[in-house]
Amino acid sequence: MPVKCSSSCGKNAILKRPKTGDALCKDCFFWAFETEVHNTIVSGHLFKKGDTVAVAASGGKDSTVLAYVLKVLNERHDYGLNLVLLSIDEGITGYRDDSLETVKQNRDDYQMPLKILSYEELFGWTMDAIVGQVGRKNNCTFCGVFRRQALDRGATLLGVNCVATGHNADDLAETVLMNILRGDIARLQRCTSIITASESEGSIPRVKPLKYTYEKEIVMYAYFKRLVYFSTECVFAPNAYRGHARAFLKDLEKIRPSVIMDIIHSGESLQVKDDVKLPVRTQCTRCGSVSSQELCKACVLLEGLNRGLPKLGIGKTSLANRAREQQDAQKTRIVNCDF
Amino acid sequence: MCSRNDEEDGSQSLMEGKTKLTWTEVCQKCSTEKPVIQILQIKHAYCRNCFLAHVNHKFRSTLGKSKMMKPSDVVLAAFSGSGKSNAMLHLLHAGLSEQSHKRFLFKVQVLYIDEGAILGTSLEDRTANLQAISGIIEQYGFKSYYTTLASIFEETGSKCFPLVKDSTLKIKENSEEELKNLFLNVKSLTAREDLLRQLRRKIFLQSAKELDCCKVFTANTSTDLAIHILTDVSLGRGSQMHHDVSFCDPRDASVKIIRPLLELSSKEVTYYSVFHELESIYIPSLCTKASSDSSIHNMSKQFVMELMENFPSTVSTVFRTGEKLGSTNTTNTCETEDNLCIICQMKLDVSVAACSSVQATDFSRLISSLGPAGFDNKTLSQLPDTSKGILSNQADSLLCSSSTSCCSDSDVQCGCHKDVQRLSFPDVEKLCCYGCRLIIHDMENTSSLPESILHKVRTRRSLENMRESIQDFLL
Ligand SMILES: [Zn+2]
Ligand SMILES: [Zn+2]
Ligand SMILES: [Zn+2]
Ligand SMILES: [Zn+2]
Ligand SMILES: [Zn+2]
Repeated sequence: MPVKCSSSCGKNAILKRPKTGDALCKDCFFWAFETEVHNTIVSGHLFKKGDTVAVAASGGKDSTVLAYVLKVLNERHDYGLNLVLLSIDEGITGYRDDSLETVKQNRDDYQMPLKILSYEELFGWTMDAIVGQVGRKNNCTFCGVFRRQALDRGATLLGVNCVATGHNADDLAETVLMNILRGDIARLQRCTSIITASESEGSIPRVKPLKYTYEKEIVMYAYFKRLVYFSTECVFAPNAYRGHARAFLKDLEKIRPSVIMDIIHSGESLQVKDDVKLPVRTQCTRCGSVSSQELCKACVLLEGLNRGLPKLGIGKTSLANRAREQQDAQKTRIVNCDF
Repeated sequence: MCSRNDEEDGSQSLMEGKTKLTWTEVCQKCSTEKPVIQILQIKHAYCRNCFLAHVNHKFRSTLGKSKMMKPSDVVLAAFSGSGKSNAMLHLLHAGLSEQSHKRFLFKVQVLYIDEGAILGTSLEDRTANLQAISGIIEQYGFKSYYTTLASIFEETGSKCFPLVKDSTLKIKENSEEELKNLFLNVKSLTAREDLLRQLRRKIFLQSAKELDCCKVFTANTSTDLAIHILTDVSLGRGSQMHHDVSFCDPRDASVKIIRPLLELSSKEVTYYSVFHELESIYIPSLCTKASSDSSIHNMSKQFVMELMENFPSTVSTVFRTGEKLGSTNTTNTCETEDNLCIICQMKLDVSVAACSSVQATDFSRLISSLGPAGFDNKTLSQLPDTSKGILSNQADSLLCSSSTSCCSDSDVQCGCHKDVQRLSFPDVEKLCCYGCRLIIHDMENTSSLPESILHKVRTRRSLENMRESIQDFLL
């Protein structure tokens, strides 16, 4: 027996919303999905009229749906936004070529300008080359850290007011769990905020319009709208620990679907004790981006690669300093011998 | 690739992988005996005697450094029959039998809670359990009492009874039935377990008050508390989990719940019981027979255990995360009753910012039912600053008309707000914290809640009505 759409529009429902369990027809689902993102944008004060917004486009489902929905809402509600696509080419043979094709398709379909920046032009290293240096074990550290930097630099280059990323509710809940598991209090407190405005000036805020949208609904939306996206998980071995957190979240979701929103609520409402010292965030002395250390992670990793000490940024800071000093000492010795 | 990762700055190195512990020829402490156990935090092998001394020392120092124990204190130690809770009694007994200056000066009484009713255990088995329990406590010479979970439904009279060698379980049929009904009414095991945890806490407090004890000791280890942290986060109890996992739960004004084993891992406590050959009684509980994917608590437990295999430092890391949470200067005692959850006594954490998970979920429910036709665009434009007003009112009336317990006539605007006796879901939910709302959500009706809770709902509601009617005249 067909189930009726719970909005009593008279049509038959075609799906059950993972978030609330309501049965909806296709049209009511599209409308509900879009209206919820609109609600997040309005209540979170994500944009101002006239803003230029860079959509971080990876070719994956989240950013494809994000670009599409932002375009729809911008027109429907007259946000007055100037939307551009910003894509990062990490330089991974086979993987990136395909996903960049998807992004170019988005550019044509949604008629948004597209800027592609590559790791190679920004850092002088492609991910392929980095993997050649560090092996397959720690490269996710590199791609995460460099991607973050690359988006910042790209946003500065394009002169945008903010960067919109496709992080969804599942990603956020996973990050909350992740930060508890690794005891990262500072990031635990920050990770659920919808605008990651940096305290230091000069850095461009990040916004997450899909923060309260379930991953499953994003897939449903893309599926029924027939949006093309490129779906491949990272070709390199992803961080094992994050994988555990992801699997745990999926198991929890099967038991109680609202758990994703419940975990985000926990993240939003927990407080850090007054007497716990959190790392002070300053600017990297080399590149000026936000960092809790003198040198930001990207600069340390880059230095490691350029020095031929790729492990420099992966271990503890004290170890990195020692390795750096040792190499410098050796260099001085060599230099001394020359004289 | 890894776009999920782009908030990273490479700090996963905070997680230590498995490191080999060092087995040595002789105990690292006394350098004479053969080692029998390795202790993770110290990364050394200890012999039996040095290990037992280490556990004892940890227990004493946890209590000592808290500076909370006074000579005049009477402590109510919760005993479930488990090896862990027996270890706690053994440690307490050891402390009370010490020589002069090292001796604990506070007094100890023991409480056993019978939960057999919700499991459908036969009265004979429950009495047998009770007597086995009394047999263990007797060895220590502690004054002991028992109570039943169903006593939460009793309004008056004593609820704790002395536990002696041949005690028989006294139950009241009425309250037993009410308790069974309440748990039958809750649909998911996750919500049942969470409810049981909240009720146990109430029983601890209620019994401590009846027996004139100012502190309750529970036998939670650091492993248990790491599991609690993940469970609490998943149950939306992020704002209150520091009370659930810290040394002292100060929520009640007169009785503090203390966790003196929290610096010991489950492994350490288990070995302590084994080396001392402590007895334990297996009494099944709500979740013991269920598989790991049956509830959030069981899933968290399995997850922590599995993670321990590859990342042995998981428990201490998660546990230390918990320690850093919670505001230090917020003691609940200064809160007025009106701001506290009627079920768990936590400060209500639901009236949060306009852009929040709570608001987003309410909004999803609202628009899924209204649909494009029923939704007025003006409603939305008013939303941002009135997340509490407009939205929750509409969501309330929607919840009302969809629930079976009230407003059977859905055409008429929900009349349950005026009904004095019957309480609607929104009436109750309004006075609950986020976590307890999830329990209520899983219930068939609200009338099976204990009278003490329903009474609070009625009182608070009528106070609110009074305030509303005189509002214009309040300065
Ligand atoms: Zn419909
Ligand atoms: Zn990767
Ligand atoms: Zn830098
Ligand atoms: Zn020894
Ligand atoms: Zn509560």
